[in-house]
Amino acid sequence: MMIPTVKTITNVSRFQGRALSHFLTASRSLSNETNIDHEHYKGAWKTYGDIENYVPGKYQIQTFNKISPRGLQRFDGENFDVRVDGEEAANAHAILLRSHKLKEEEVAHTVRAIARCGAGTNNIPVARMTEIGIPVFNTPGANANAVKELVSCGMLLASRRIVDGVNHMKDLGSQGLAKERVEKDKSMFGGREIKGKTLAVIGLGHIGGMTALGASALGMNVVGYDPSLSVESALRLPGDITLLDSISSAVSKADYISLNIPYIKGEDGTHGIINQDVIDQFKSDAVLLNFARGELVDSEAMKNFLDRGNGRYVSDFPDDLLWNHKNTIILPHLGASTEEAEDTAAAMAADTVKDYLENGTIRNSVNFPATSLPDPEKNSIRFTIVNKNLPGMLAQITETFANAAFNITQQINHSRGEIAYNVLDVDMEGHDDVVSFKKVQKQITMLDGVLSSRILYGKPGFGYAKNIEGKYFV
Amino acid sequence: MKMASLTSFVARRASQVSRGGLNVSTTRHLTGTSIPVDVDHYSDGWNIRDIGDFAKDEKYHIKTFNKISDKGLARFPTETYEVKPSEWDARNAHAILLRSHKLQESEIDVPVRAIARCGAGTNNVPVARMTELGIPVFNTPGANANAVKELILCGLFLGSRRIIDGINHMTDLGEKGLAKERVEKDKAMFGGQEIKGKTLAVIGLGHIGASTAVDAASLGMTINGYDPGLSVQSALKLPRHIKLCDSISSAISQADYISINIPYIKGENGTHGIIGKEVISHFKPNTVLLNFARGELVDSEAMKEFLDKGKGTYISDFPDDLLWDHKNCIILPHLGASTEEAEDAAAAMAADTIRDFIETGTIKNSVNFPETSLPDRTPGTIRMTVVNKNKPGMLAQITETFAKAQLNIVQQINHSRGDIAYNVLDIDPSTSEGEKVSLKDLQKELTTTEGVLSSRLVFGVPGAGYARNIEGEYWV
Repeated sequence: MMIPTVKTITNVSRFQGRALSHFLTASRSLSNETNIDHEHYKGAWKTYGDIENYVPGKYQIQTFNKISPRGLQRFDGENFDVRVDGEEAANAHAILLRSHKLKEEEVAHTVRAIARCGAGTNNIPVARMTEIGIPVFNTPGANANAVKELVSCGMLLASRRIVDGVNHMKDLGSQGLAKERVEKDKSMFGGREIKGKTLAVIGLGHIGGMTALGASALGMNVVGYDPSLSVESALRLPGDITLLDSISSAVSKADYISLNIPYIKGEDGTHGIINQDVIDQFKSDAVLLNFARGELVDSEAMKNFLDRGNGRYVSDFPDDLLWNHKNTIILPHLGASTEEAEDTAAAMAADTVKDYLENGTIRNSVNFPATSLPDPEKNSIRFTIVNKNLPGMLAQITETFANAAFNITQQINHSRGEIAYNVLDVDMEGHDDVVSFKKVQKQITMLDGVLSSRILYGKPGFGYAKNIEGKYFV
Repeated sequence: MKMASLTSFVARRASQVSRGGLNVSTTRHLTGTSIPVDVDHYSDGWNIRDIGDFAKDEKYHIKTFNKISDKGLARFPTETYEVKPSEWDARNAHAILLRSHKLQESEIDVPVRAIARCGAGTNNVPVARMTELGIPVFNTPGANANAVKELILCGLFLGSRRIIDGINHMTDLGEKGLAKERVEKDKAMFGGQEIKGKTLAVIGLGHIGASTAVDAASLGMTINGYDPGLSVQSALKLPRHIKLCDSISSAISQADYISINIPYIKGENGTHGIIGKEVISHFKPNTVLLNFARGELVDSEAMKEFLDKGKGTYISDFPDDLLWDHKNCIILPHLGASTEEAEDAAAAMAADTIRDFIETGTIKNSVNFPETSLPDRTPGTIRMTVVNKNKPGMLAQITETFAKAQLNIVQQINHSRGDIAYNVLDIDPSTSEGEKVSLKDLQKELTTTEGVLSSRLVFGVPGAGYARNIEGEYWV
C-alpha cells in the first residue's frame, strides 16, 4: 500500500464523516468474489471540491444544458448518479451535453467519456480530448427526422412568400383591412409548387437520406452527391435517386438544394464549401436550404446570387450579412428542437456512454475507433487501454500482461488517427487469492504512450487510471 | 323587319343590326355539311355596343376577370376565340372566365352562355341566379389540389414548432446585432414536436383532402378520415391504411392535427360554422386545426375559447377578425391556389371546359347544371342544346316541336339537376321537306315555349345561334 502524498492528505482532511482509510485503499468484491485491491486518489484529482456529494459505487454523470429526462432515465439509479445542468459534479465519470461550448477546464480528470446529444461536435474541443485519451461520442441519426421535417418546411416556405404573407396579414389585421385587401394583396405572395421540381441533396447520411426519401414521396425528382456513400446509407435512399459526382454537377439542374454535410474546420475542411464557383452553377431561381451549419456557405457569394435573381436562401443559422435580405429566411437553429429528437438523442447518448463504461464498447465516437468485444467469459476481468497510436505499443502491452503471468482470453485492438484502443479480457484462473491488479495496471498505464486504462469489474466509478504527462493518477 | 340605327342600340329593344349592308338574315355554311341554314341575328337587341367589332370577328368572345394564366388562355385557338380582359370593356362576351372577382349580375352580358371559375369554390359567383337564367357555372375541381395540399403540409410543420415566431425573432435579434450571441439560448422558446407518428384527421376526402391524406401518410402520420359522400372513385385515391370514421367528432377525437377540406355552403343544411363549439369540445388540448378551405367553416368564438386554454393552434388561409392577433393563430393570405402551376392548370381546365361546352354542348365540372355528354355529332347532323326549367312535360314539348317541323332527332340526351334541365339533340336536317332548312322559326318556337330558358345551335360560326327567352321576350 502506498503512503499517500502530502497533497493527498491535505485534501483528504477535507473529507467529512468518512474514514480516511476507506479512501486510501479499497478492497472491493468482484461480482465473482475475487478480492481486488484498488487505490484511489493517489495523484491529485482536481475533484475534491464536492467529495461530500460523491456517491461511491455509482458512476457520476454530469450534464450541461437541459437533457431530456426520458433519455437520462436510461441510466439506472442503482449504478448511476445523474447530475442535472448546474448541479455540482466535480467527480464526473462522463459528461452529457447538447450545445454548451465545453472548455477543457470543465472536463475533470475523472471523466472517461463525453457524449454530445446531437450530430455536430463543434462545441467540444475534440482534438484536445483525443490528445488526452478521452473518447467523444455523438448521436448520428437521432435528430434525422426532426431536421428532415424542418428542411421540408423550409422548401415549402421558400416556394411561396409565406412568412411575408403571414406578417402582412398581421399588418392588415391591425389596420382592420384584412378581409378587404386579402384577395388583392395575395398576389404579392404567390409562387410555385415543389412537385415535379428537382432537389439536389449534398451529403447522404442519416439526414440527407431521409430528406431525399421524403422529397421523392412528395413528387420531386431527387439527385444527390456524397463521395463516401456506403451500402448501408444507400439502402436508405429513394431507389430512383440520381447520384452525381460533384457538388457543382448536382446543383446545376436543381430547383432546390439541401446541404447535409458536417462542418469541418481547417484545410481540406468544409468551411465555405458553397462558394462562388458552386453558386455560379445555381439556376437563377434556385432555393438553397442550409440546415447543416452556417459556415458551410460563403455569405458574400450568396448575397451576390440573391441580389441578381429570384433565388432564395433558407438557413437554420444566423447570418450577419444576409439576415435582412428579402430573399433570405433565417430560422433559430430549430433543426433538432423537438421533444422526440431530444428524447432520442439523450437516450442514444446515455446508451452509448453506459455501454462504454460498463463494457468498454465504443460506437458512435467521433474520435475513437469503433470497438466491440463479446461479453467477458466467467472468471475473467476486462481491461481497456487507451494509448497513442505509436509502433510497438500493442507488443509492450501484451508483454506486460505476460510478465505478470496474466493470460489474455480475448482481445481487440483498433486504432483511428492518433489514438488506439484496446479491450482485453484477462483470465482470473490461478489468481484467485488476493489479487493485486493495481500493480499491473500501474505498469501498463505508465508505459510510455499509454494515456489511460480501466479495469471493468462491475463496481461503478472505480478502476480508472491515467498517465498525465508521466504522472500516475488513479 | 325594322331598320337599325346605331342610336337604337342603346336601348335594349333595338332591332336589327346592320352589318356593313343590311343583312337581316344570314346564310352560314355548317361545317361538315353543305346544307345552308337560315339563322336570324339580333332580332331583338343584345345590349351590344361594340357591334362593329363583333361583326368583324366571327369569333367567340371570352371575357376575363382577374389575371388569368396565359398558358391557360392559350387553350383557346385564336382563329375562333378572342379573349379580352374585363378592363378593356369587352362586351358581347359569350363566356366569362374569372378567379376570385366578385361577379355582379350587371357584369354578365346577355349573350353570355357560360361562366367558368378558375378554382374550386364558387362563392364569388351568384350561382342560384345564374341557374334561374339558365346559365351554367363551371369550376375546376382538382386543378388546385396539389397547390393547396403543399400549403397544408407547410401548415402541418408550422403548427409543430413555432417557426414563424422564430423567424421573426431572428429578424429582431439581427436588428440588434445579437443573433449569433442569443440564438442557442433563445431557440428553446420555439421548439416543439415532429409530425411523424402523430394522427391527422382529414374532414372531406375530395381531391384536396385525399392528396393531403396520402402525403401525410408518407410522412409517417396515422390518418383518420371523414366524408359522408365518399365514392368508390375517390376512395381509390386515399392512402391504403386510412381509418374512415362516421362523424366529424369521431374522426377528430384522437387527432393531433385536423385538416378541413370541405366546401362552404350557405344556408340551412349548409356548412357555416360546422367546426363549432360541439366539435371543438372533442379536440385534444394541443390539437392543431388547419383550415385551407373557407374561413366561415370555423366558428371563431368557439375557436378563441379553445386557443385561450393555451395549447392548441389554429392555422387558417383566411382572414379572421377575432383571431388574427392571437398568439396561437397563424393567418395566411389565401395562398392555397397561388402557384403558377395551379393557375395554369385551373385556367387550362376552365378553358377546356368552356370550349367543350361551346363547341359540343358537353357539360362537365358544372356546379349547377347536370353533367351531360352526347357522343360525337354524326356528320351531316345539326346539334342543338336547350336549357329549360325542370318542370313536368317539358321534354315532350321539345320533342314535339321537332316532330312538327318534320325534323328527325338522331340522338338526344336529357338530364336534370335541381331546378334546371338540359337537352342536347342532334337533328338530321336532310329529312325535312324541301332543301332549305330554316331553323330560325324552329328555334324561336322552341325557345319561346314556356319554361325554356335558352337554346343554341351548335354549329360552325362562332358566336351565332344562341337564343334566349328572357321573361317571355325572345332574344337572338
